[in-house]
Amino acid sequence: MNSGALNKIKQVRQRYVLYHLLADACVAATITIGAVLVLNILLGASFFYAVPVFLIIFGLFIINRRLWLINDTAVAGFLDSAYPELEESSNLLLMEATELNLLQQLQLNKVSAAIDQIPVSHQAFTKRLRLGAIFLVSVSFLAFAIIGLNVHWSKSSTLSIQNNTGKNPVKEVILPEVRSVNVTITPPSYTHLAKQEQDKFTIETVEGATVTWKLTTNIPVKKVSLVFNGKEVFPLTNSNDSQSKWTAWKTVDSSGFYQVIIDDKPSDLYQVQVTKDAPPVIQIRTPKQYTYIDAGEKPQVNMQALVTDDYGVSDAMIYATVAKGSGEAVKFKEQKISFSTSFNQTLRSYNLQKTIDLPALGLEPGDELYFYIQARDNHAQLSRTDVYIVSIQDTAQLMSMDGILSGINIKPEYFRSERQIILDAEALIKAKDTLKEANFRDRSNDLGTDQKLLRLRYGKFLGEEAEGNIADPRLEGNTLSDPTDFGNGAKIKDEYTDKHDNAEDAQFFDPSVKAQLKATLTEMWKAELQLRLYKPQEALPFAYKALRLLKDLQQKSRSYVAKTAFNPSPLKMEKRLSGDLDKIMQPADHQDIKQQHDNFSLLKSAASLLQQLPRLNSLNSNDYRILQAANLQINNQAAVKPGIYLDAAKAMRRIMAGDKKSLITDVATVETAIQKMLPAAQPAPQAQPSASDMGFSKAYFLKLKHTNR
Amino acid sequence: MYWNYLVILICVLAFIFSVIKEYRRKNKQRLWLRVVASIVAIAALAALTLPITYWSETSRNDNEAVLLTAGFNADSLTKYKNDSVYTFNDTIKQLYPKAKLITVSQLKNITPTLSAVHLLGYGLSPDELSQINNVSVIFHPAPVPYGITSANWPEKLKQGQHFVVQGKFNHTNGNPVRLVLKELNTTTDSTTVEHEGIESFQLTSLPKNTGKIINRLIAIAGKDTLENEPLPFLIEPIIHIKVLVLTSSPGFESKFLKNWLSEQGFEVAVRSTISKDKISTQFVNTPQVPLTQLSASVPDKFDVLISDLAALISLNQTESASLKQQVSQNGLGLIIKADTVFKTPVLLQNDFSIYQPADKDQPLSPQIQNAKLTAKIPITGQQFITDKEDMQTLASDAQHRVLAAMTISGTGKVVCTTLNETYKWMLAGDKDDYSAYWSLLIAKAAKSAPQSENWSVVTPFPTVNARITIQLQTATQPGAILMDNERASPIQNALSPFQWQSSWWPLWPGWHIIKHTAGSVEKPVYVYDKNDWADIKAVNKIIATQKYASDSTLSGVTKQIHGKVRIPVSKAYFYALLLLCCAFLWAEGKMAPK
Repeated sequence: MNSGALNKIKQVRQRYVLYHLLADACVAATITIGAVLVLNILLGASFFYAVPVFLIIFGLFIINRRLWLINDTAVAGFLDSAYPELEESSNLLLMEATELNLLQQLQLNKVSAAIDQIPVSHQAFTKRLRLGAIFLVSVSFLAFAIIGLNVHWSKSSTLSIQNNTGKNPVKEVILPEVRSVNVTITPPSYTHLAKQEQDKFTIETVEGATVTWKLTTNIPVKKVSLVFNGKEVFPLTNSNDSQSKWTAWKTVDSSGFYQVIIDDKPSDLYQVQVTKDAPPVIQIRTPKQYTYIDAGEKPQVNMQALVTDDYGVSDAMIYATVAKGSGEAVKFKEQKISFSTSFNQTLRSYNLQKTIDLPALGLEPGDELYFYIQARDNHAQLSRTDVYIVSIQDTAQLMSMDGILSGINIKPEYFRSERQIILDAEALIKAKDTLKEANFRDRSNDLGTDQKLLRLRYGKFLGEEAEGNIADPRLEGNTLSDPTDFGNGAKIKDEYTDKHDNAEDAQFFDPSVKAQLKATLTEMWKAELQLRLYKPQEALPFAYKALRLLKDLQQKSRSYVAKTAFNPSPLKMEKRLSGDLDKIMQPADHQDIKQQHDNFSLLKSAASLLQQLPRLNSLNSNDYRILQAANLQINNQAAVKPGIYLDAAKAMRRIMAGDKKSLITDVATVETAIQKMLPAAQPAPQAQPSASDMGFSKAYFLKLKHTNR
Repeated sequence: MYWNYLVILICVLAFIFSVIKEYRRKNKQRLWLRVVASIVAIAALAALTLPITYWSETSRNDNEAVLLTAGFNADSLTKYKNDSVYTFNDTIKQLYPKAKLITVSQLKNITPTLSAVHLLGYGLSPDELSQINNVSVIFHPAPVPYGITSANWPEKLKQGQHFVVQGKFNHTNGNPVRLVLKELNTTTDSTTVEHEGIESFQLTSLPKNTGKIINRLIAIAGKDTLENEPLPFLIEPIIHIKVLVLTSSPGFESKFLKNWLSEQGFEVAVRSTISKDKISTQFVNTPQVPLTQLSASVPDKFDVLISDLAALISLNQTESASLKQQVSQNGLGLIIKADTVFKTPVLLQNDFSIYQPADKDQPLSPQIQNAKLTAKIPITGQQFITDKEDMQTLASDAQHRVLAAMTISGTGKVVCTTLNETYKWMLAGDKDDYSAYWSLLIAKAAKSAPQSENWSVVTPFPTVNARITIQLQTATQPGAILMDNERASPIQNALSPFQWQSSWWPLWPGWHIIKHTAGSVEKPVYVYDKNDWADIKAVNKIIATQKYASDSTLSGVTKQIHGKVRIPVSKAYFYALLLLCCAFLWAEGKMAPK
């Protein structure tokens, strides 16, 4: 009976200890997870540290808790305080039965019965455990979330770092003698690019950069050199006594590849990728390629241009050419016009503006301005635009339609009249002071009349109505009164019709002459007006202009025929149309066209050979020669386009060296390169091969034909 | 058979020798016994070396066996639990350890004789089938394998010709399969097979390389490479053709044609009429010959004659008769450029008739055979050839109206074309079209090039360690045939004396060179690896085995009725007899008093 109750107390104690240990483990685990997570993120510590950390923390908890001090007496005390039915007497159970007095005996019996009803586990025991478990779970969730985020973040960060370190993540194979390499790339100063240092052999830079190699070997070596594009040997100089530090520098101008040779031991091929400096780019926004300035418009051109370059623009200029005159008498005048912008800063892009005042350049109506913009970048590379044209309208030639030939001769005596009018007018002006007013007016009016007559005469050429046409038909010379004409409608109509602008009356001038004649008549009208107003001084400019136009007409109607000195031999009439071709030679032409040598024949045989290579055990000398020739061609291509052909050149070297390890992939690489290099095949006519059947089928055919007959 | 006679002869000699020896022996005691012992000993010796068999009735009970070949399904074996399982293939033995590995001859000699063999899987090759010729076979073919089940491509090409591979793909699941044609490790064409069932495909490339070429056909499903098969072929160098051009007047067409042909090294002669009885002649890469009169010998020197119709009409009677003779009997090719004077065709009256349709405003895009050209021809005044039965269309427009066609005239070929301004293509920069068009026309018409020898491989898919039969056509006695420098003597065909055959067993895959001692041509033959084109080989095996099985069931009926079978006598009896006789002879010698 006693033992059962004692057992109960032991069970309660064990349960209590177990729950507390579990709770401690939970808390320790929570702390461990937190601590390790922080360490991992900050210091990059491994998650394996979690095990010792947990053990330490858990140990500390156990020491702190001192669970071994929990003895049965303490449990009995707890039970007494928690369960009133025990009547504070549970410690009686722990006493020896012999030591108990009667009352205690009785109480013991009572307590023993009561203690049986008490449960083993208690709410109070699990409270810490539950709390600890909640902590653990929540911290674990948090930790997973952070780890997930962290992995994501670190991935993206490493990716971005790779992008920064180099565009080609190609692994370089370096010679085992090389301990370290330091390649310093100094771009030319005009590029304003920063100096670069790298520990790779692959070089990617701009044209004209200076590359310095500092090579450290792990053993003393006799000779180190670089071989560019498989032919250009470039030795490195030793810079210390132990012969392990070697340096050299070189200006890199073109793409290609190189290899390091240490004591005659060649390395892998390394790529040199050079970006060329592009010439500046000029875009003219205004004016348009061809600009026409009409009369009345402002004779000026607003020029807007954008000049860009990859490193900097150092200068830009307008080169203008003014063309004056027409036909053979064109005169050119060239001049440079600078933009107002200063190019001292050599920026990469300039927005240029300039307003060109055309009269300032000496441009008159009818003249043309040709210009282009030339820009220079800081590498002294020039580029220029197309030629742009600006022309100003010539009012005098407004209606002119050049290019249509005129065969009509304008008679020169008419022109003398205009000149005479001018001469007379000038004489009149001179004599003005000595003449009486009325006399002066009369003479001026007479000149006006002369001018009118002259105008009318020219007007006839254009089919304009003459003075006579306007006369009243009822006056003299009226023929309608003739009685024989009674009822002749045609005659009446003819008599009363105003027949001006009759195209039949006009001469057949070509439109350009007509246009100019019209312009002349206009000037004559104006001159006449001034003369009639007794202002011969004012009339002179118009008269002069009319004269100039007439002169021009005269010039236009001229045509030039060169003198020839060909005298045809007299025809033999008896031979004409006889069709006799006896003496005519029959032309026979013979030529031999040399067939072009196929530059790719060796490359083609190499491709066939490579396909069989994995099965061949050894190369014979002829095969080796073919591969060597192919290797040379691939190397030449690699020197020009290392980005495409360098891998193939490397692979070819390995194949030539008899490297069997990666033979299949190497062959594939080289094959791809050869396929790229080969030109497309051109179709050509080909004869079908006949069967070599001792003429059997032909004999059969002939026999068949014979029997069918 | 000789062996048997040899053994019998030797034994008879030995017998005579021993009898004489016995007879001369001084001790005549037990003489007859000794003679008999000697005879028996020699006879036993002979029986040991000779195959001694006897006929016996077959047991009528169904003694069947199962023979496994590649592609069998292990689950299908449950039906044949009681039968013994055999295989010829050690990889199958590994797959299915219960199967007994035997040779073909062992299968034939299994006792008691098998009444039938259940053949599972893809079956056997014709070679193996010919070896088991007595055995009655019931074939349970495996389903046609998933993959490329047939493929065809030209064995020989000329430079500038397209390489076309056609075939069928047996698609058993829904995943799309990409078929890629690779030339020198560069993809030149590809297609996707999506639908289940057998689907045909065609892939094309224009090879850049010359000589011995191996393209590859790769089948890819997702990321898995299902098949990677070699497509070996040869690109042969161009044989230059001799071309004679006749024109009724000098023109751009003939000039461009002459320039184009001559820059490729062809021999060209041009005869153009420039006035009455006056001609202009031009010769490129060929010695000058008088062309004023087209005597019989002139066309003989050329492979192709290109002429406009007017020039043909202007030929006199003897000239046209000799030309006709050359075409019909000597195989000269004739290309007629039909023009406006088509009402009186001269040489080949009935072959071509030409019509001119009403004009439309769109320019025509011509196409040659199956390739479309980018060049255009103006519709105005374009004539067409009326399509006929015995005519091969070479060029047509999009509406399949014939622009160029070919017929056969005797041994020669006559091509007629109505395209008279092809030089404009050249001027427009369509040089490829011009080349393709004229290459086709000239190639179709050209006199066939004589060949001293003609090699061919009879065996489809010649495979390493398998018999390959090669055939040679030559007018001269070939002497020995060298295959990888191994000599072999060819068999002459009894009916065609110019055909010779030989066979050989190549030891390694790849290109092999065969030639004959009297010949100059080296013929490369590609030998496939054992695993190349496995699916096609499986299909071929199924077909061959099915044929064999159907034949064997037909003859199997009579076999069952006769039921007699040869059974070899065990050699042990003869050993015992020999030992006994020898022992007696030896013991008798010892026992005899000295």
